[in-house]
Amino acid sequence: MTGQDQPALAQQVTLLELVDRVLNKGVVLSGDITLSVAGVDLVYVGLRVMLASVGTLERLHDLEAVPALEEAAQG
Amino acid sequence: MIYVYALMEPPSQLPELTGLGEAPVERLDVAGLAVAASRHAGEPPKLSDEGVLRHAHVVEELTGSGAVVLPARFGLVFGDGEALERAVQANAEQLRTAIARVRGCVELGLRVLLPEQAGGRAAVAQGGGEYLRARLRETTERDRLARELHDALAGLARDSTHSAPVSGQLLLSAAYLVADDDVETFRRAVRTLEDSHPELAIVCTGPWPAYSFAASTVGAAP
Repeated sequence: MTGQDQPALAQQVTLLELVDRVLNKGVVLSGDITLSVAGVDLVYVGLRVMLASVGTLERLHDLEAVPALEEAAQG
Repeated sequence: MIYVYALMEPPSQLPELTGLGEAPVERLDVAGLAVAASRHAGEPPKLSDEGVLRHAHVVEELTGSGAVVLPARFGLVFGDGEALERAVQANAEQLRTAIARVRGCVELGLRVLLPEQAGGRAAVAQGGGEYLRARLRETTERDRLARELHDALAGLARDSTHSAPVSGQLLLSAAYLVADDDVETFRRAVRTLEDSHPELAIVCTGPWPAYSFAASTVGAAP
């Protein structure tokens, strides 16, 4: 990869890593937990598929932003 | 309804922060821990890009204020203060253990991508038996490479978590809990790996709040 690609790639990966952490990591309290935000699982699955299937660097570059989380949640 | 951003060792003062839906972030003291949370009437906050980024921002600011922070996963909500207290009480010991573990550390992320053509190498090999053998060599080589990269960094971390998919372009995805004083050493080690593996795209992200090391000791989280 060229030096020019690296910052763009780093930026995209950083965004994916951020969303992956916020939706998938972090404390969940057993017992009284109320994960009442509908669609978290769906978004999570969507992201995992996206990350797992990052087939080419181009496709990673195409992820301008985290695509339509809300739509995914409702879909 | 109470929406939780993070659990903390009680800090002297919480910075002034705006949470989901423009609600102020408050400090609630529960079972010897401080909970950063906001109050909401009616429906819990909906999942949205803005909400995810707001949550991340609040946790980031709390961490930046010098407190020892266990980030909550997006969507951790409780009907009222009593429900929150019960849940924190029930997990107090694990939470304290997790706080002790992340104290003085940051989380660094790592993703390693293979060059594009690598995934298809086995497919062009001739014949079924040869395909399987090539495929096996490739899988073994993937595994070896992922292990080499991870081992070189895990030794510099207090704790780590990683996954190495058996196929696809993502070779390694990992998180490392690194002491503040060792961050530069860690980054140097990443650069050394980059130099010795110019064919790989190695992306080190962070420092992050310790999302990946907050949940594992806390009951749930399938």
